[in-house]
Amino acid sequence: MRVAILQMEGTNCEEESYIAFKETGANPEYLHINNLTEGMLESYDMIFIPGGFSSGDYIRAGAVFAARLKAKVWKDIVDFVESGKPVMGVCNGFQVLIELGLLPGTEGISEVPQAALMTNNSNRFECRWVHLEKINDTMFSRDVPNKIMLPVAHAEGKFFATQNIIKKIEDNGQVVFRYISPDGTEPEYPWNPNGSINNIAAIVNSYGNVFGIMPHPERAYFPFQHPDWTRNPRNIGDGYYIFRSLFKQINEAKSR
Amino acid sequence: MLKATITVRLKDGIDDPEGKSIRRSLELLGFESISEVKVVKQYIIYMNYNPQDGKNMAEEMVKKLFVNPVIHSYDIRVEEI
Repeated sequence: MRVAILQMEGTNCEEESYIAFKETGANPEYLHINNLTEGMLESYDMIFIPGGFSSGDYIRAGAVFAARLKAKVWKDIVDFVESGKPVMGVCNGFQVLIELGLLPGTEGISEVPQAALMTNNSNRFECRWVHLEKINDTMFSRDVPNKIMLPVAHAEGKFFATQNIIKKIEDNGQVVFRYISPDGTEPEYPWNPNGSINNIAAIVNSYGNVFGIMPHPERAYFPFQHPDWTRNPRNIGDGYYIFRSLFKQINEAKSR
Repeated sequence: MLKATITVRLKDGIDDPEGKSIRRSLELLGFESISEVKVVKQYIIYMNYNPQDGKNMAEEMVKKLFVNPVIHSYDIRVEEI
């Protein structure tokens, strides 16, 4: 399973992501946007857009990365997505997928963005562990327990769309994770760290192969990355489940 | 030489957390009776085109990069300098 980890000036989560894919058994490769040429993406089994601050978050988080991908290899990306292969974006990567119009993709790929990841309600960079509830089983979440903890680290993560689009996302079962409070009730700030509508933390497109998530699974891959790892021993980190779900799915699909 | 001024603002009714926290800071500094603060972004671009091409170019820039139509509205002013 060859995974293209896209890089640009300012991405900074590619190393953890690389290690996560490698440990799960995949073959990750870094692919810098400057070295990306037409026809290159086709040979990969998956595209991964890591977190960070691509282009310094100038204009809007993810906007420059998305515009450059669109200018360079838009047709290849559309073909990749339409072939059903997985595309995943974490944090800044999620912002890029939204700006590209690949997410929420309620009716396929859209020319212009259908949603936005806006400045957090707190107007601050929110960096903390959050509780997540799994809402739907997808190729990215099938093996994930119903409740997990992952860290968030972003200033622009408030999921926003018109009510019409939100309704479609909910009706299509495209919400993958929601923020919840530790006792499982409706989360107030800080458990919903950014003010996302319907506490949305992660979504897939309607076809189920493009996934965007604000919290960082690659930062919770090993048990010792959890803040309570000495008090609450676990065999694997919560982020690992997402990578394992994916890996299993892709290998099953390939062997079929 | 052409000067294009592109102003991008949040649409009416969309939350502006930055504006809210600036309002709070102004109140803490003793400024009273402020009902709202809105933050806009302005891009000033100098270019060598005739006004019509310059205007088209600015429209392209807005579509490709400066605006997310879900949350933003914008206006473009082009002038020869």
